Amino acid sequence: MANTLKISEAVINKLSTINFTYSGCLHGIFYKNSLLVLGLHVETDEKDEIINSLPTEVDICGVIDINSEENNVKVDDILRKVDITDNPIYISFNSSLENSISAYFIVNDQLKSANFEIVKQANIYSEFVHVRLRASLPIYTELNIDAIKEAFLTLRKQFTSGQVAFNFQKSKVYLVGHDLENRLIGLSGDPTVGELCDESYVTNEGQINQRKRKSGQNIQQQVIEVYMFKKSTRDFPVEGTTLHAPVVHVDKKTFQSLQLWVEVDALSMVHVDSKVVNLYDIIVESSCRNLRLQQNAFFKFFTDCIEEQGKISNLKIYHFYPESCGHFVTKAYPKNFADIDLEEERSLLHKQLLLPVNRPIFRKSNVFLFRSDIQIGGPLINPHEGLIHTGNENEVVIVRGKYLYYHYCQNKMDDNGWGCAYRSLQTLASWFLLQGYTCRPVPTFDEIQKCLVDIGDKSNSFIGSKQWIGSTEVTFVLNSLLGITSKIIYVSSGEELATKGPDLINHFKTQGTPIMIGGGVLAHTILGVDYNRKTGDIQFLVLDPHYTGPEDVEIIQKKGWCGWKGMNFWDKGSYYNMCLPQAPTCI
Amino acid sequence: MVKTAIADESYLTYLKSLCKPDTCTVGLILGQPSTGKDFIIHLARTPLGQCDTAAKKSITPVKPVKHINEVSESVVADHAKHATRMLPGGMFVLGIFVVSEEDIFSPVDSKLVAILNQISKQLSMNSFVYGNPSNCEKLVLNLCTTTQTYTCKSYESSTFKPAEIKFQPKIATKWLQLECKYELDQVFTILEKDIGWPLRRYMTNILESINKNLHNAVFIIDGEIKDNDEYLESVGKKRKLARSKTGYHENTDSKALSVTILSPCKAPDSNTDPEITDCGSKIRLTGHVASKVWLHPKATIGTASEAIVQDIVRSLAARLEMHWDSLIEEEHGSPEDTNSIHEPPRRVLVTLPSSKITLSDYLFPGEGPQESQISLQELLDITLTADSEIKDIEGQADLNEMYMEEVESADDVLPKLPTDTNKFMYIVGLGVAFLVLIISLMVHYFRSNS
Repeated sequence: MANTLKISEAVINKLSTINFTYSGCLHGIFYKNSLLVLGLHVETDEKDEIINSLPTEVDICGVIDINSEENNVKVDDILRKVDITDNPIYISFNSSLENSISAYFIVNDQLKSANFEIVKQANIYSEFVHVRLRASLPIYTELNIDAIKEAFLTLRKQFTSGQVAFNFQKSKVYLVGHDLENRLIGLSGDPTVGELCDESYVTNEGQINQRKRKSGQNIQQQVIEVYMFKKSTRDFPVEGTTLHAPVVHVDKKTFQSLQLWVEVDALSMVHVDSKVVNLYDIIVESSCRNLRLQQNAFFKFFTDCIEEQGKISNLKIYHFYPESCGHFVTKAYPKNFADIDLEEERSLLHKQLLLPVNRPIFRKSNVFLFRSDIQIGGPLINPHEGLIHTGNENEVVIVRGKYLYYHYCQNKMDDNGWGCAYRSLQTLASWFLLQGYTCRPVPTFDEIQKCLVDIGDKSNSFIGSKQWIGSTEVTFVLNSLLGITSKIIYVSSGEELATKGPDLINHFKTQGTPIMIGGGVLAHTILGVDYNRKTGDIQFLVLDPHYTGPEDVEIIQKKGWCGWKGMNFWDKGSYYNMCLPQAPTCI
Repeated sequence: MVKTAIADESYLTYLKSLCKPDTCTVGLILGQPSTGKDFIIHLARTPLGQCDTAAKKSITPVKPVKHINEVSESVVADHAKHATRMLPGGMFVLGIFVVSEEDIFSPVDSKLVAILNQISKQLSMNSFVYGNPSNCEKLVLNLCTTTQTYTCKSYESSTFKPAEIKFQPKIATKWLQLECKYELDQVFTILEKDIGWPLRRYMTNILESINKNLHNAVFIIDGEIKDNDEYLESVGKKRKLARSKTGYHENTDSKALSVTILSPCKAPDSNTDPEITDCGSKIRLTGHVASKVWLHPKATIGTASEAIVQDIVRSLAARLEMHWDSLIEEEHGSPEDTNSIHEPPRRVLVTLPSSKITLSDYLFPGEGPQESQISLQELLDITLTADSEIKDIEGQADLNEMYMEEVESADDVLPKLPTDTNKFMYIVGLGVAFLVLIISLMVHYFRSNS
């Protein structure tokens, strides 16, 4: 039973922005006698099982009333909604009463007032790790709804039967059962999850460097990769069955069969002090949640296809980590569905999780990038993260979300001396891709040149040439390839940039997109601004595309290829054009 | 380096017992190859006349062969095939012995070459039986009855090289045992376009997939996963050490190491898009293969894992071969639209007299230890003293129960389509009910009469 109640800062922050009346459920995790509330969802008219989208171990732990006028709390209603049996909680929040939060444990059907502690996101993720299980499981079944349901059930049974084993991080560490004597193979003693993450425990060549590198996430998510194995041998006989020698059953009948690969990709959230041996049941549960999620999605999207012989496609699991949500949200989308086909689906999630509806959060390209998903040797993500900035008490605003650092001489192409604006454009395009506004891959040099010819801005000879482009061309390309409009700000000299502080502050606050700036013969990307309204002091966070070295964030930060620059960075003698891409309002 | 093999002294006695005037005896050398020396586990003379274990016909006595020229190479090769089926994984037909009046090596008898080539050919016919070890060398042992001396050569790619067989009294080979129960519970669908194939062809494809899966598997031996080049002996060392410190001693060499096989859950690299196909039938495998292999102490983990794979696949392939051999022509194709259950013979284990090593035999449904005694006598020249030496390790399937289950599951899936079996069950049910009624009436009648 939980003795103490903790609430994530994300939940508190979210509540403070809500003015409407809602009733909803709380998502929480138990550990070490504490209940930690990570997030919440509110009830909507459309029903959708949100529990299967949560990482395993995060459960519906209580009920919340937001700005409710009713004072009569029905304990029975609460108990019906929650998954946990031990002391669920009830929170009442009222924004008119100075954002007051009252929390209660339900003990013996009585509300018992509880004190709580607010926990910062960063602290949560230093204490918890995520376990990510992956497996490909085949389904061979008759093509009818009942048979497919049965096949999904059989897959779940496979997990719960104990006939599976789990391999950690592609090492020699295997977890083979939950009640066997030698259940953990390859590690001695009774290690904790935290120890398993430790390099000295699981030595895996090639992964060490990667880990030191900044993965570019705002919060460093520690993830343990787990791969599933099926036990082909039986250690103990199953109760109620007798073993017998192989027999071949031939079932003669004609039918339509469906062969499907189900890609299990399941998350669990565990405390670093939990024992590795206890992960077995948690991972099994996570796979069952994941399979239920996939089964529901399968029938939601393909029931008609089964009946009308339509095209069935594979489902793919997407893990999202919306910052204001406080935990991962997992969805299964069909591979052949475009973002537009899934708008309804996303809209419901935005509503349920009380997320802003002006920007994409659950589009396919919003998917959370795990360390293992990031292409090694590819462009770095957010190289500005970790920079130490000593702007004193000024207003600092920087780019929102993720972008890729494009610079000279990448992808074995020597564009030294002419390609800087192309690279800056690529960085801008990558922001729109990673934020989910588009699923179009970052355009190549050829595509950029062809686009400018197609719209009539350049003649045919431009294709394959080494001609420069400027901020106007960047604007054109963003508009015709990505459908993004941009504002242009013109300054007649570098010095005049100092006056644009308020405009830039406003841009990063409302749009949050990186800015391309061209002047003289150089192009740069502005990622942020530090402006003091009283003194007019201004600094710019600049990403320099003229870098020709390796993808090493240490060099890039140390040598100032990505860093804070003062006014003296700009050339007093030349004029500048800034392209400020405008983020569309959509989900 | 001269090829060496070791064998128990009792087999020299066995060879000498075969020395008879005017007789030439040919037989098989069975054992385990290794990079150092080969371990011979058994010698078995080739039965004269046709051996047909599937049908278990008794051998009609044939007049003794006087010279190697009279030996039929196909009979010896056939013997090698049948003997291989009985060997656990990691054990092979290592070569042949010839007990004859003349020295067959000087000059090399052309018949000898013919026999050796025929054996290699026969054993490579079904790759799932794993008849030939990775090196194709075959041993030839010649005991010359006139001089009472034996010579040994190894034969590979048409040349004979000197080799040596040492007969040792009480060889203390500490065989390591590994065992597991490999589960089969898979459904395979047959495309409508392939519906005309004989069952045997489908089963070959299924064996292929089982074989492939096993080759990608991870092996846990006695709770440990080790590198392939480590010695099998090293398994459990630490724990044994800990035990001896606490004064706990166990006769470890008699205990089998248990093996757990883990198959990765990975999709093939090729296209994994969903596929809808028209299928003609389903083949479902159920049951388990009991596997037990024996390895010499210097074997590596890699060799041991390979032996387990060979054992499982060989055993499945062997029993299927025997099953096909036992079927009559019409049953092979079974073109009519009826469901059927095929029950290949099950594996039983027999302990060799000279060591603890167990060999396999396969018993058809309804067969008992007596049948096994006959085939052991015939194929391996082993006379068993009691039935208890044959261990039924897999258990016979209860077909009646399976038919019932089949009917039930058919009911679940297709509630509106009564199958022939269903009707049959219905009629049987009615018949039984009627019978009960009559009996009870009769009982009632007789009772009231008395």
